[in-house]
Amino acid sequence: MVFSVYAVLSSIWLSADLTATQILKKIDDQMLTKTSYMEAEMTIISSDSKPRTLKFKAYSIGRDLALMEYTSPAREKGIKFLRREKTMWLYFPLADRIRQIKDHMLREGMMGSDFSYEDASETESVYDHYNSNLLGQEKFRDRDVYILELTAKDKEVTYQKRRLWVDTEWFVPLKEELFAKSGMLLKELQMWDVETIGGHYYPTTWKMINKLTGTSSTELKLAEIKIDIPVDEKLFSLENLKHR
Amino acid sequence: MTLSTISFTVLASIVFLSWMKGIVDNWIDNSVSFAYGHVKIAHREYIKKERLLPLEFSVRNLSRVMAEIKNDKEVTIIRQRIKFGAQLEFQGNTSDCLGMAVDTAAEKRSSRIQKTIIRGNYWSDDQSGTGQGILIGATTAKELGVDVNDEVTVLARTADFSPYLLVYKVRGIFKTGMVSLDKGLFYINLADASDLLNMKDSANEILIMLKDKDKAVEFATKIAKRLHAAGLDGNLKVVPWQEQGGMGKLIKIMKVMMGIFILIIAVVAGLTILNTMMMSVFERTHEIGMIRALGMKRIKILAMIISESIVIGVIGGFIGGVSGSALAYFLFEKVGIDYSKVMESAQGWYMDPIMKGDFEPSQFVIGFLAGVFLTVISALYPAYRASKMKPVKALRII
Repeated sequence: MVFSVYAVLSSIWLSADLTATQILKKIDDQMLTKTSYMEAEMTIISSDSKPRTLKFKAYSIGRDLALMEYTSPAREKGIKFLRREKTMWLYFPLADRIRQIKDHMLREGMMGSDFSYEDASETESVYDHYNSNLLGQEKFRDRDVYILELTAKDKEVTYQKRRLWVDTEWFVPLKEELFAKSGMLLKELQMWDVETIGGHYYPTTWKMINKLTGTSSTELKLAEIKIDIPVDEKLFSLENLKHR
Repeated sequence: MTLSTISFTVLASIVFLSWMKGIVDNWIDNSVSFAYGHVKIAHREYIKKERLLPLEFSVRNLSRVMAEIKNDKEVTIIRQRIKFGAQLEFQGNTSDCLGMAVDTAAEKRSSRIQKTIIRGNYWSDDQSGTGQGILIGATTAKELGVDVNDEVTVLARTADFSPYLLVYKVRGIFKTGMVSLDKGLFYINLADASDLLNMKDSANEILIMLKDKDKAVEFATKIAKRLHAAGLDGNLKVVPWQEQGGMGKLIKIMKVMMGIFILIIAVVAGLTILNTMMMSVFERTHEIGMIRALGMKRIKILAMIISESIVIGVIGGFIGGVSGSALAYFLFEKVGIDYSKVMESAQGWYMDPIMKGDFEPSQFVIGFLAGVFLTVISALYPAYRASKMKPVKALRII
């Protein structure tokens, strides 16, 4: 009894004390891993076509190195996505060619999904580019959440405003709204099924909803997540794209 | 003076008529041949968003739709196409292009593309399978530094919005002279496009060529009803060429402009003829007074001046008609005028850079008759003035 009263009080005390910047720092600590490996299933739902499911495995070292390899369906099998800091490449096995992703391609969806290449290229903490403001606390999916509003420091940033619903206990965003310069809501990212992996709270289901068209969304289910395991840096080289 | 004015007017009218006819016909023919067909069938959403080349809005049940059209006696050729955005790459050089996947045999029969190949060759009839290469516009080929037999990579967004990349051998380079085609356009066959874009039994455009292009509107209505009866029209739209790319409106505007131009020529020529006929009448005031004094009636004076104008009109019309026809045919139709420098910035216009007239004998007849008519109309007032002269007053003028 005493313990629970203490827990409630300390939670209120802690919450009251945290600034928006501190909350963002805690999110970074929570979500950032030294290395990771995961297998995932991405389902793209569009009102204009049948749902499409792609499977991939992904490796990462910190924020700067990421490699994804599609394992199904057959047409996409073997296509690889490599990111080294902000530079990205795609490898197409049938043509055995590598193509750098640049210009207008950056804003296109990864493999037709609602996650853009730009979304995938956020290297240093994305929140460094924003001024943050704690709007308050509320209940979201029966969880206590902070509501944060982030406003871009410079005009080059794609999403000029973000609003986050951050779990007060796990410091994991459960929902994020992404706005354009005009104030229009472009996308909504929702996260569920938070699991404890290697001491980190990690959402294993992600859903990006395209609010601009209102006709598509992409659900990402993460499985086989391994955190802070040994990952060879050589994996993330252009030479390796062709030879694995 | 009257004779030269009327000759020049008839000459200018014939040259202008044939010149405009040539330009407008060339624009319509090229637009129909390369872009629109006489009638186009496509998904309603595709037509609305055509600039974005949305592959997701394609004509499904393609074979059933084709079956509904192909036996119509008005139809000469049916061309199915897939238009898509793609990036071409060769040795680090890239170019954003419009890809055109075509039924190579049907395209050969209705489009002039195979005649514009400057290096390499068009697909033969047995090359409709996969791995049959790519045709690239001359300007794009130059920008990429690519030539026949080189391998270019084509990166496209598939119907699922996924990026996909394949390598194609350059089988030919075409040069139409039209910037809209030579820069930023390439052709592949439908089988290769199906591989690249993951599209089976579908196309985003069906272009229908008719025996008579003037029947396109009525044919489109008929086909729309037929597709509806077959339960196939759910999302399809049947569009005649006049309703594509604002062509119908532009043609109307061009006709009005031609009318205004001809009217201006006619008014200027009419006033000049009126003036020269008046001068001719005044120069002969004494003479007219004399014949009036000798007893010639007013009506005969009137008839004399008008018949004189008819003779001048016929002679001037004939001289102008023959010289105008010769100029229109031998210079403007056979040689043409090179507008290639101007056309370099005319993206989206399907016009040959060397614009040629299109002379028809009817233009000679129209020019000649209009010349005679204009001369007679312009001579009416001078003839009236001559017939109204009083012999006593006229005889005083030397």
